[in-house]
Amino acid sequence: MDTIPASRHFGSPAAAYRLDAGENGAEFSVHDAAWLAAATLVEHAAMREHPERDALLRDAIEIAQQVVGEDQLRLAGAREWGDRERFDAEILILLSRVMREAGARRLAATLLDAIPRAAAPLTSVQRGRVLVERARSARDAGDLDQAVDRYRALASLARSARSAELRALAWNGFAAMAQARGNHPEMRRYAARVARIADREGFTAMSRSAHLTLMFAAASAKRFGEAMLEGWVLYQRSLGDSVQESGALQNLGQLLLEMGRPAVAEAVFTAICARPLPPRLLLPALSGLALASARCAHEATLEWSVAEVRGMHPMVGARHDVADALAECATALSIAGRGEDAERCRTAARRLAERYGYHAIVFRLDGADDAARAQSAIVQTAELPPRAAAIVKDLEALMPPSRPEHVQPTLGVL
Amino acid sequence: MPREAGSHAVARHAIDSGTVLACVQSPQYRARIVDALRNCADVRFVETLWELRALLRRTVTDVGTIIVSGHDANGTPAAAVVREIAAARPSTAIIAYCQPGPPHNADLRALALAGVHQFLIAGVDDVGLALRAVLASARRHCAAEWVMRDLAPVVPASLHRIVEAILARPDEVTSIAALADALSVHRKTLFNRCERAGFVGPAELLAWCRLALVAYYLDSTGCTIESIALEMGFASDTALRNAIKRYTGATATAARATGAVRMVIAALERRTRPERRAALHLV
Repeated sequence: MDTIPASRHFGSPAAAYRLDAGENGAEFSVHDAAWLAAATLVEHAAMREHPERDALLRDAIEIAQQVVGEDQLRLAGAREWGDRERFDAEILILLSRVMREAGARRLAATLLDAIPRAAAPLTSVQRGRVLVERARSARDAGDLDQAVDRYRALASLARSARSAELRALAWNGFAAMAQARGNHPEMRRYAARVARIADREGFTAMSRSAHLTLMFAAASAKRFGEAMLEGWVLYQRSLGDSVQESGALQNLGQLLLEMGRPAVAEAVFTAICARPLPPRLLLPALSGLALASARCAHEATLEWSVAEVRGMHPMVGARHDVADALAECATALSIAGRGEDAERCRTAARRLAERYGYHAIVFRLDGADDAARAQSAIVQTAELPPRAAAIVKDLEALMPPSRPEHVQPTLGVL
Repeated sequence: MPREAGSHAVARHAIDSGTVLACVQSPQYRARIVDALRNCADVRFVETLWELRALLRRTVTDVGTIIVSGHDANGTPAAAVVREIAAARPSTAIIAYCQPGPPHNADLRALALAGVHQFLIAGVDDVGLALRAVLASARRHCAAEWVMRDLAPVVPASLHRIVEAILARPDEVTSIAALADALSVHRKTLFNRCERAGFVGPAELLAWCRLALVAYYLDSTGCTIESIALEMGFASDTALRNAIKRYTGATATAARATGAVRMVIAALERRTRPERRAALHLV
């Protein structure tokens, strides 16, 4: 790739894209130019006064609608904000999320920075929604201090605006930060508060996020019954939205693996793999399926899932997920006693992880033998509370359609 | 001019755009550029990228801005020449004049990668004040890159993000509240960060960064103090003159004569030496 290196972007979408593309080494998607045009228009709108500003903003919104799809945007908007204090430019927040998830995080940041200036005046809640996206963006970039500072600013805005939504968003952020730092008690405390507010006020997206965190906290403490109940709430909150539903199932599948029930996990992961989904969901489902089938000694399923992960290897924008899935596949192949194949997967994962600085994956690959031993040593949890046992039964009944010939990754899905 | 009509009819960006070289073929686009930059820049057009390159090699005039469309009159793509210019003339703002829509997407991406600072989107923001605003924004970006290079060794790395936010929008980020807003953090966070870095407070850092940018304009343009003060959002030219005197100990004229950026950076270095940390009176 032939780019002029620039170390900083100073809010310019062109420079931000240049930095992102330099890091990525390739196009993010077929929509790169449209993203650039939308971010540029919003930045230009921020420099102008009404009525030119509104016209530029409308053009940018139109591009977002073309790129992401109106139905998708409507669905994602309703999932995120219901019918509370909606505004036209919020579509651009969702577009920034698509950019960020594809890896163009600086371009996404320039877009987010320009929204409040271009779409002014915004209410406190609307400004808070942009702010929380900026915090997530910093968190994804691994800049935890900056993310915490932004969540604090959000908490302060929530206090001054007396907004339950912003308060819950800030606490949700603090819970994510606590999780990133391994402070599980604090994570649990914040997530419980968010779940209480979100369930009471009907903030579906936040409720899902909080119950997922509570599920993770309970599973980390080996309280599998409680984790299963939280996971089920998460699943219930996701019904009707294929992507969210698959995400919830994915988490339940992982939990079942942890609980030593690989056969049920295999059914759950297969059900996910049969759906057209974004790579960020398909890849962990495939690697989960590889682990579950290795532990059930279902050679054919293991073979299929590893081949599918390898087939998705060249996909740009999902490199972290690919590296992560390859590392899991290596563990699965080790469990199945296929040392050479495992080594091949491990080498591919290490190459990606070292090239793009995914240190956590490199660290995990260094202890790959321990991971395989730990996976093999998981035994079935003896007893579950009756409600959790009933949920496991329901999941067992999720008889998936037969495994597809190939998974169908969808790109640019929110 | 009636007062009501004035607020958005007056050019906000008073800094002279200097010489603008444009390799744009469409007569309509040329007319728009000429119309927008009348009385504030010397605009010259060239037909081909080869001509643009040759002109840049032999001219001694300070070319402040270059505008290129995706292809020249011969159909040669502009990206390679843009890359060359961006590397050879880092203080020249490069603007790509692009057509909107999917058929032109490849140009947009290639030009962004090649090093353009801003895009002018044909039929959308390529007239009058909008065009001037885009030009000013590209020039500001160049200035910010240049000044950041000088400030980076003096300011602790943990504060670079703050400096970037100030340099990116110096006309808007003129107070702590605006700075906190630009960074999406609470204002107390700014104080904490500066304190942790053992550096001057955020208000003083804001003043130094803006002065460094003023110094860049003093060095690189022939603009008057009045126009720089207007561009940078100072209350008046007197306020700017006083700030320069207070922070560097020299007048604006003396600073311009001896190298203003060097003078401001040297003053900041002196100021941040441990024995000289007594508070300055802030603007």
